[in-house]
Order: sequence, then C-alpha cells, then structure tokens
Amino acid sequence: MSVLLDLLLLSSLWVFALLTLTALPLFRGVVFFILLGLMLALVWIRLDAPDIALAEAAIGAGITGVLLLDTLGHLHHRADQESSPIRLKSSRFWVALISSLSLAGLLLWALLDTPATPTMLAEQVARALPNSGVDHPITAVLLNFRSYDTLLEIGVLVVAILVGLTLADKDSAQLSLPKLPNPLLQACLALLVPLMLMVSSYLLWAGSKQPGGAFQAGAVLAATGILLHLSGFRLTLRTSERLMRAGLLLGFSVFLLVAASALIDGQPLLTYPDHLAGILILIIELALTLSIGLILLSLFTLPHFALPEQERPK
Amino acid sequence: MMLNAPIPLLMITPLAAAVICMLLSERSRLLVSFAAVLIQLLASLSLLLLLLQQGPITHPLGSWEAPLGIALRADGLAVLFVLMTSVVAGIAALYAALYLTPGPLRAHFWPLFWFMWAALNGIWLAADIFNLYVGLELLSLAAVGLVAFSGSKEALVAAIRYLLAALLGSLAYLLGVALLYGAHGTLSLSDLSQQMQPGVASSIALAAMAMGLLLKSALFPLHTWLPPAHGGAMTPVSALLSALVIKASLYILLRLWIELRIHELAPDASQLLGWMGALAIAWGGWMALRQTLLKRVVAYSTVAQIGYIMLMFPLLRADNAEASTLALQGGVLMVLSHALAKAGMFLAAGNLILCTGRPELSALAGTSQYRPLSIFGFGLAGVSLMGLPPSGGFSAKWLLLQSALASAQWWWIPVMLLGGLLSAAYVFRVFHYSFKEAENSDTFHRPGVGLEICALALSAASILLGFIATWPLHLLTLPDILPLAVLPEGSLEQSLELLQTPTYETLHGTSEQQP
Repeated sequence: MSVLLDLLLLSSLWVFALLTLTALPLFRGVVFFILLGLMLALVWIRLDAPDIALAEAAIGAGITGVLLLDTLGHLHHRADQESSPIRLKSSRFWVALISSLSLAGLLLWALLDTPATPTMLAEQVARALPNSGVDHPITAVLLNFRSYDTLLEIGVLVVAILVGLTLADKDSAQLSLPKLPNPLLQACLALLVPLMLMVSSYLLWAGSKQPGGAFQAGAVLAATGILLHLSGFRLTLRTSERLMRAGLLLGFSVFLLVAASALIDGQPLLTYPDHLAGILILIIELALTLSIGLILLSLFTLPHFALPEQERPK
Repeated sequence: MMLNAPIPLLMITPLAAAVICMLLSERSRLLVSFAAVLIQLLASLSLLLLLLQQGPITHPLGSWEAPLGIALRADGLAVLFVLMTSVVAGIAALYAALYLTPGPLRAHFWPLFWFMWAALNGIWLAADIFNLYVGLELLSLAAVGLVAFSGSKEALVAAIRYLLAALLGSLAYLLGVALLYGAHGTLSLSDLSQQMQPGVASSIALAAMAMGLLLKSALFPLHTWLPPAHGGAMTPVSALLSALVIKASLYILLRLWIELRIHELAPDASQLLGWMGALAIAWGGWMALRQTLLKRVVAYSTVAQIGYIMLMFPLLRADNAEASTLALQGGVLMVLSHALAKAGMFLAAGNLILCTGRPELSALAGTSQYRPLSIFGFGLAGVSLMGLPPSGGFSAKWLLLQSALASAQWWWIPVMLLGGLLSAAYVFRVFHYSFKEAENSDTFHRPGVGLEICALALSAASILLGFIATWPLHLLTLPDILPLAVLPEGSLEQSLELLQTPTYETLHGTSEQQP
C-alpha cells in the first residue's frame, strides 16, 4: 500500500515538474509550480521530515508562489512578455535536456554508491538534547547546536529585504492595486485572520516540542499579512517607516544580542546559560517569527511601488 | 576584555554595524562605520598577536564541540585573509565615505558593506562545509546588492546576471555538501579530512562543489558575469568585489583541495584547474587589451589574474613537498598582492574617471600631463599586476616559477611569462592613452586628496608586499596546512628544516645575485 502511495507521489512529482516547465501561458506554469510544492511537502512527510514539509508548504509553495504570481502581474503591467513554447529544433533545448539528464544520472550514481555510514550525529544530538533547553531535536539543532548558521541565515533574509529597500527607495508613488470592497470577502477575512494568527502562534509554541518553529510560524504570519494587503488593508513601509524597519530587524537584533551576551561571561559566542537556554530560545523564536513574517510580507509589498517614469526599465 | 576575544568580535562587529546602520540617520551611519572599521582593525591585529603567541585557535560556538556544533578556526592562512580584508575593506570604506555624495545612495551603501565584511570574516574563519555555504550566500547576496544599488539600468542587468551565476554556484556547492554529508555523516572540515573515503559519491560531491566555487570565482570559461558586474559597479564597490569577494570562493576551493587531499587523490583535476587558469590568463589579458572602457580593462585583468592564482593547484604535488610548499606560498602571495593591487587600481581608475568625467579610455588624453598623481597610482598597481620586481606580484610569480621548476612542470613557465607580457600590454595601453596630447589645456576635474591617497596607499602596499613577503609566508606555517602525510618517507626532517628557514628568503637571495 505504502509503496503504491510512494510511486503515485513520485510520478505526480514528475508530471507536475514537466507541466511547470512546459505549460503556457506562464500563469499556468506558476500554478503548477505551487502544486509541485504541495506534492513535495507530501513527499517530505513520507520521508519522516514534517518540519521540512511544513516549511516547503508554507514558504516553498505558499509565499514563493504568491511572489511569482505577483511578478507575473508586474510583467503584464509593464510590457507584454510572454514566454515562447519549447522548440524541439532549438539547440538550447537539447543542451538543457542533456545536461539535466546527465546531472540526474550522476546524482543517482552517487546515491547508489553512498556508503552506509552510521550517522553518529543523530546519536550526539539525542545525547545533548537534555542540555539544549528544548525537546524537539530540529529546534535544538537550529537554535542551539548550530545556531550560528541560523543567525547568518537570518542575516541573508535581512540582506534580501535590504536590497529590496535599496531598489524601492528610489520611487515614491504606490501602484494602485484594485481594492476589493466585497462584503463576503470582509466576512471571510474576519474569520480567517484570527484563525491564521492562532495557527501561527501554535506553530511557534509547538516548535519546542514537535515540528514547527519560527520559520513556519513566520510564513503563516506573512501569509496573513499578504491576504490583508490583497484585500485592501495596506501595511507597508510607507505607513510608518521607522516602526517597520525596527520590526524587520527585531529578530536579527535580538538574536545578535543574545549571541554577544555570552562574551560578557567570557564564554564562546552564542553560549546560553544552562538554566536559561529554553527561555532564551523562546524569546529568539518569538522575535524571529515577527521579523520573518514582516520580511516575507515586505518582499511582497515592496515591488508595489512604481519606479519613476524616467527610470522605468524598458 | 573584549580584545581578548578577537574571533567573536570579528563576527559581531560587522553584523552589529549593519543593523545599527539600517536604523540610524545617514550622518550617524558614517560615524558608526568609522568606529566599526577601527574595531575591526584592532581585532584582526589582536588575533594576529594571539596566533603568534598561542598558535592556531579554535572557537567552539555555543560551547558545542565540532561535529555537533560549529567551530570557528583561526590558523595562519585564515588570519592572513582576515588581515587582508581589514586593510583593503578599511581603505575602501574611507574611499567610499569620500566618494559617495550624501544622499540615499551613500546611506544604502553601509549596511550592505557591513554584511559583506561579516560574510568574508565568517568564510575565512569557518571550519564547517555547511557554514561555508551560509557564508557564501550572505556574501553573494550582499555583493549583488552592492552592484545593483546605484540603480542604473546597466547596473541592474549586471546585478541580475551576477545573482543568477552566484545562485547557480551556491546550489552546486550545496548539492556537494549534501552528498558529502550523506557519505560521511559529518560537516566539520577537520572530521572530513580524517574520514574522507574516496568513492563515487565523494568524487561527484567534490566535483559539484568545485564547479560551483569556480563559477563564483569567475574562472574562464565561467567568467562572463564578472566584467559587467565588476566594471559597471560604483568604484569602491568594484574594488571590494575584485579584491575580496571573488577570493572567498577561491579560498574555500584551496581549503578543500588541501584539507581533503584532492591534490593527492586527483592530480588530473589539479591539472585541469591549471589549464583553465592558463586559458583565463590568455583570454583575460587579450580581452583587457580590446576594451574601450577604463574599468572594463581592470575587470578583465581580474579574469586574467584569477588564472595565475589557479596555477598553484597543479603545482601542489603529493610527491614533491618542496614544490608544494613553494606553490602554496606563491599562490597565497598572489592572492594577497592581487587584492592590494587590484583594489588600488580600481580606485585609481575611479579617480581618473572623476578627472575626465567620462568612462572611456580615449578620454584619458592629457591626464599624465595634468593629473600625474592619479595616473601614478594606476601605474604602481600595474607594476605589481605585471609582476615586475620588487612588487608582491613579482615575488608571487617567482615562487610559482620556482615551484614549476622543482616539480618539472616546465609548461607553466611560458604561460606565466606570456601572461606577464599581456598584463604589461594592457597596462601600457592605458598609459598610451594618457600620454596623448590633449587639445585644450587643463579641463580636468580634481579628485579630492583623500581619494588619491586611498588609491596610492593600496597600490604602494602591493609593491611593499614584495619587500616583506617572508612575513606573511611565515604565517602560513602556523600550522603547516599541507598535511605532512603527503611527504615521502624519510624526507620529513628535511622538509621541516625547509619550513623553518622560510624558502622564500633563500630564493630571494639567489634572485638578487642574478643580473
């Protein structure tokens, strides 16, 4: 039964990937891409990696899909850029096909040849877990054992939004999206938004014991914001720039402060005092959730400012 | 108290400076940045002192030991690169403060600059292959932002190309990391170097990582993204990108090559890197000769100089300890002198463009007569790039030549000589334009004294490096990162003696005796 399920999942992955690549117009390709992300999330569940499944569904399929759809809207807005269908005669197609097939072949070969080494790291994580301040091994790795990687990853997110701010600051006017003054929509929002906020806080809280955590909770928070934005509630940098900036930076700053505070004790960077580890991780996650939500939301809202006429790329 | 912990300081300061810069007004950003540059300089010096006193230092982050947690490691090679970054980025920051006019452009520069510096320090000190990936991501994104932030259409196009190349490179590297982790169950570089099992999975993993890193380093024929990005960015950014950012992926490649003993296991791969380097020298030099924009000449010169650095790989030979030591010394010295010379050259080129107000080479006519200082800075850097004595570039090439002789790979010698001639040709071509008589009298703008001094300081430092080259090379032996196991039986004592009396000195002695 489960083998059948796996085969079904695998073949649907193939089908959706191919459809994403070949579908025309682009809009349909993006929709298939979102479906591909959801399928991938199911695959991760089958692989016993619910954390990655959550992240894939929320960020890979959800936020990325929305960003792609939004980009598509901008492309239509600016110029008529339609992709051309794949031509079997074009040499590029064959180069791409051969190189991706050979890459797939190489990867398969590498996987088949991978020696079965005992993964000692999992045992080490299990042994150190009681001292980490949380009960969920993934959270322990992300925010304690390998917290340095996470700190720098949040830095990557901050840089992404920084580049967005840099490019968006040149303009002033906001593109007017059509508002949707629909009573039914408003009523749905009144139900959905509190629910989404609750899901977000639950994911954050659950992270210390089971799958969940700041990234997933932040993504749901961002989705709430995007939903509000699309239905006419504008929460953008323009409304209150200082506050927004502070929010974007809150997670990274709190993380950095906690990291540096170990130095006062003469401890290595990012060392949490034993009895405070759990509470410190929760504080970091809380701040991160807010910031990740705001950053992902801003990535969506920033391009909604028009470039001034003379600088508009042609 | 804080200076006793230079490693955390080298990470915390730039990250904190980036955050503070994003929150403050424009004027305060400048003050914060100056303070942070000062702290960075002091921290890297104190790290150097600590290294000289105690030897290599490891810093277990979060107090978790290596395979479970992540360790930062400061050995001689890492400290050398930290120092290089502090000098070059410090001077480039000063230049940027004077060059960028007040306004949103200058305000946006600082946070991106600080994230870039943090990523660089993170990469030099990293001892974990996944952490290196995170560092590369941070570095690439900050660098792309720096290219894009001037906002012109050309800059945006160059930035997008750069972004796509950098992402593809990161992805290939990450693929390799995943495969290596699957095969060995650890991400720590020192663990991997002990447990490395040659096999299909490891080979494919390392090939993917090397491909990604070469794409990020813009080695021919993967270089096409570099000239528009480096040539089209604003002057201080061009200097930072060419001098420091591309060195990060080269540094990771060198670390992998030596610590995972690829030079021993796959000498053919090393030869391939060498030949790609040789082609890069020829192609980069040839293209530099044909450019019409001044900064494009300098950018293509970077393509050629990366080729020289790659020549070190085929010379790292398992069967010849002397050649390997010389190659490592020559290659690292090449990186250092290129960082100083290329940063100096880009800044000098920026000054020349400020003088003439136009980016074309043909606009330079008359600059030698009226703005000799600007062209002098360019020429000094050119001396090091050409490899004329007594510059750092000369010492580096000399070591590489010696290594090629010692390992009987004579075919690299004509490559290096030809490359030197090509570099001389494109540098003198710039001079040729500048010596042309201008039709009218002095119509040039005058760049600020500070801008000239920044360019001159870096160019002069690349010359000075030739005189003090034994000193950075001594750091390379703390500890000797070429694993001693590669030495043939019995030659251990001999080669240790070789290390104690730095090879460079003896060579330099003989070089001076020759007419």
